[in-house]
Amino acid sequence: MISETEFAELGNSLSTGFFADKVVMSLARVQRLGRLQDKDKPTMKEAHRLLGQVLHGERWLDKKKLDAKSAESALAFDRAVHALPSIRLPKEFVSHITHLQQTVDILLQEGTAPEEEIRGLRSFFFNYARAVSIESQRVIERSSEPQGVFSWTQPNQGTT
Amino acid sequence: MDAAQSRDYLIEAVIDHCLAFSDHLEPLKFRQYASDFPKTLLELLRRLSLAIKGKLEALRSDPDFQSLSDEEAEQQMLRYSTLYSYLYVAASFVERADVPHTVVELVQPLKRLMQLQCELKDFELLLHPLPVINYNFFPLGSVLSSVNEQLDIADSRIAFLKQLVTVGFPGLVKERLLIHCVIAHELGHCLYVERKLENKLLPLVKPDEQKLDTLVRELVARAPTALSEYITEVEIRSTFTRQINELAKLWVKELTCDALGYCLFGPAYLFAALDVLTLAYAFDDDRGTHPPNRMRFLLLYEMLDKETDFLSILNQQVKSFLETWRSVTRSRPPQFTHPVRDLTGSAILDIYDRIINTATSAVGSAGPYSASENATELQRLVKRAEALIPPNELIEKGVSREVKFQSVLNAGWLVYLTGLKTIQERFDFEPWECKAKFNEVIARAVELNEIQRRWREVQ
Repeated sequence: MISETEFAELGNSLSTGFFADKVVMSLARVQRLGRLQDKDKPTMKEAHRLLGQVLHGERWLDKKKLDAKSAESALAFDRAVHALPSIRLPKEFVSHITHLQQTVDILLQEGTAPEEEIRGLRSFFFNYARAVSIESQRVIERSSEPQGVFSWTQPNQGTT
Repeated sequence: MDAAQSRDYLIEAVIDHCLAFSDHLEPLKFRQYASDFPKTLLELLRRLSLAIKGKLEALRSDPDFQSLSDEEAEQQMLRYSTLYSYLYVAASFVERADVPHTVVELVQPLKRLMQLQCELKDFELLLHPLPVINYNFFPLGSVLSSVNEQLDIADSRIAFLKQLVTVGFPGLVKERLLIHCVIAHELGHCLYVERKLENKLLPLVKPDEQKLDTLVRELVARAPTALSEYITEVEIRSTFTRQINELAKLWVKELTCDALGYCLFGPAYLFAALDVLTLAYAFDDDRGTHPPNRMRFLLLYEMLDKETDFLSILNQQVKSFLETWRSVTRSRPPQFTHPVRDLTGSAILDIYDRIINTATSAVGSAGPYSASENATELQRLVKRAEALIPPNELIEKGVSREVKFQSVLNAGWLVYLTGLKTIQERFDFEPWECKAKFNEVIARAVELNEIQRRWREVQ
């Protein structure tokens, strides 16, 4: 059985996962067509916001103020850390995310960006999507464990 | 096998999930439910599944999808596959909310309470049994809405009510209607989200900054040790940040839902919580998503102690029951097994008054249920219940008047906690028989109370 918290986690990771997949598709389209399409601008704006959340989460320990946004940022930060396993130091991490955010800015303003930058951005969102997939998978696998003695009886299947 | 072909196979496999899901939904439409809503939801799920099928079919010839790397394409298909696991669980809520499996007497009164008293006019409820002795809540409508949004499905007919919630109850004790007063806490979850109480309460939680700094410094200082082969400094920071934020978010939410539960049902919620929570969790267990029982009961006793008129009508057995748990609860301050839980829990204990006040003003313009204001009514209802007459109404000058739904439950608890001895002796019942009859009387009282209210409304 999937518990309430796990089911909520799964819902959140699915929704975030579909979003991250959408960013990957938008960037694939930029690379194929050479320009950011109008229909992809909302997605890229949202990607910019998510990277901002990651940075906000990274800075949380400086201010230590709890609120509804800080919980979301903390989650985004933790997922981004899992998406960048080779980065070990906070400074390096901040500089990498800031750079990705700048690439999104350039894409939104100029419609295009250097190929290598787009590749880096696409790779980050692919890894972010994968980190989220692993969370989902964990919930699904836990829920398929044996459930004990209780089995659901179907109505109208009474014994004679 | 080339890449394009393997993608086709992946798409085909997910389309098979869609079809299997639609087939699974079909027979569920013919079941009997406590309201029409589950059938509407099944139809929405069926439409969503068909829309996803259409999207997947379009991917076959989508040049952008074809331009993805194999890993990227595979990940996107895995996501759809996971979505079907999720939808399957959502459908299982409906499957178990049919009349034979649910506490059918409670569905309409709870909907009425939330729609009218709490003014959530789109509130819908799926009440379903769980294979564990515990309760849960899930905001199914809002999660399905956010997934639907990310899928970019254009069909405007696929719109999920954000106030659709599922509440699970322990299937094993389905007939014990009184302990289902714990559901008040689960309804509290819905109010917590709708009234955006997190925005009001979370910023008030202020963990001790000095202790927090010391803890982080110590943790980070350990990073350059042998452990750093496995855990990076940035990982320590992110894990710590996530843990403390998640814990504060969860514990404030759960405690506020306790306060909301009390506001909605009055002491009946505390009685049920004492019955259920003391068996579900160890008293000082702080390792889960919920704060330890000691913290929860400290808050609820604070609320109960304001009900002086209600406390004055209690008989000795009920007083003794409450006193026993009160002294266990207050025998020592809450203790925590982990520094993050200590920092968070201690900071939350400081805002109990704010939690109670916020909950009190969040239950709607009619305000919370007051057992003190209804104390006289409760005394009269207790007499009816002790005679095994359903305590759904009072007869005044020969005219029947239905009482508040919550009064039925509170009166039921006052009789139950007295030990049912009077009833047993009066009717010469066996103990098990007496409990069964009493549970039946309370279920009928809730049902009749709802029928009377509806009848009055249509007059």
